[in-house]
Amino acid sequence: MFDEQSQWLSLDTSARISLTELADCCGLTAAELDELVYYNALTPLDGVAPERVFSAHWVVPLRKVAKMRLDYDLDLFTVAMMLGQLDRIAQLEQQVQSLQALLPVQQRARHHE
Amino acid sequence: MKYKDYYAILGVPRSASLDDIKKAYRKLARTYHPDVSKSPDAEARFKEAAEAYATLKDATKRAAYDELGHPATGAEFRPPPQWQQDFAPGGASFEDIDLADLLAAMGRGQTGGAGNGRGQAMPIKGRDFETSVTLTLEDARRGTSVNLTLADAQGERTLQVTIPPGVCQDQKLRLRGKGGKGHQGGPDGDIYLHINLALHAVFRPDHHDLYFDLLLAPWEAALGAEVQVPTLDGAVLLSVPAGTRAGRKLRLRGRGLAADRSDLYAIVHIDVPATLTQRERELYQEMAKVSRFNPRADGFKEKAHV
Repeated sequence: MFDEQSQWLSLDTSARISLTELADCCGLTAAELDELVYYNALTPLDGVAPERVFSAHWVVPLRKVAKMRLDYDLDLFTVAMMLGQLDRIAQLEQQVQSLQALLPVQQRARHHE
Repeated sequence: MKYKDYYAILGVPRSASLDDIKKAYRKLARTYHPDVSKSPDAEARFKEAAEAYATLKDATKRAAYDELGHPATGAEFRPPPQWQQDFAPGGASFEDIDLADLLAAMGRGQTGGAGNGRGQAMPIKGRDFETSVTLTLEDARRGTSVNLTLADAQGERTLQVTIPPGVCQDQKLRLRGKGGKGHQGGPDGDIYLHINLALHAVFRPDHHDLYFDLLLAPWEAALGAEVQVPTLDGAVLLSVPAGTRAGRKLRLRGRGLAADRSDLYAIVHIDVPATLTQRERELYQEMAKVSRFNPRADGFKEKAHV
């Protein structure tokens, strides 16, 4: 067993990640990520850095679509379309969670029945 | 190294065209993908098909694979001498590397594939692990240590990691370089951790904020009150302003999951006694006579609660 004082990177909008590292995380090439940017499926952060920088929140959905691409042998344009849909689903799930947090306990119980 | 018959796995002849291989794979993927199939062996069947397809769809890898001939499935075999030169020029053993890993590495453009004669070992990145952990809200606020069990072909190991304070539901964390060991100079893999929060009897999380229901008596809501309320760090006193209406959210700053940037909200509900004493009934009847308040008159409500 290791005793690890972890150095976690939170994969949310508060963290930034370079194009090279994003590609490494997701198993996609830099050229493929560029193509996703070209399709407006992926948006780099504004800035003047020599290398493109992205919000780290892209890591998880990109890993997911990259896996589905391998699993189902999808082309990159399909991956771009799915990335948008997954992002939309994640937003809607978050909205549901937010609304559930506001529901009184009794109504939440009924909602889950 | 054990031989796997990729053609048999996909159910195609060794002379199959790329189109036939693709169709056979897609059919199997649609049948056995773990997101689709509930069959107990689905994941294994899917992985097997994916491994076979990853090699046979690529002309270079397929040619290298075909070089192996046609041993029986599961039979031990030695890769061609050229593979030894390409993948492990120092005489390192292939024993701890799977056939699929070797063939997969060919496609990454790191050596140009088997048979390129460069004589350089190919770096292979270690495996990434994706796992999840369920925390209580108290542990999420304060931070905690958890044991992650990671299992791969090299065995099982337990890694004790410290979860930082202030994580929230569905938060994803990455721990770089703590996944599977890389091969031949390749970097170690990473750990991706998905945070789940256990249901709590009192609090409901929304991002880093927390909500709970605060029941008030009508007179507490009307007159204002100091009430004791729960927080993850213990009970505190909350000032309820006079004229507090049902549904109002009263904020306790810094009492959410992340102490420095999140809050705890008490959502006000006004409750009434199920039965009244004689004296209580008299007081309510008196109030009904003297009060001009009508909660169903919109105009009144607007004026009364600006």
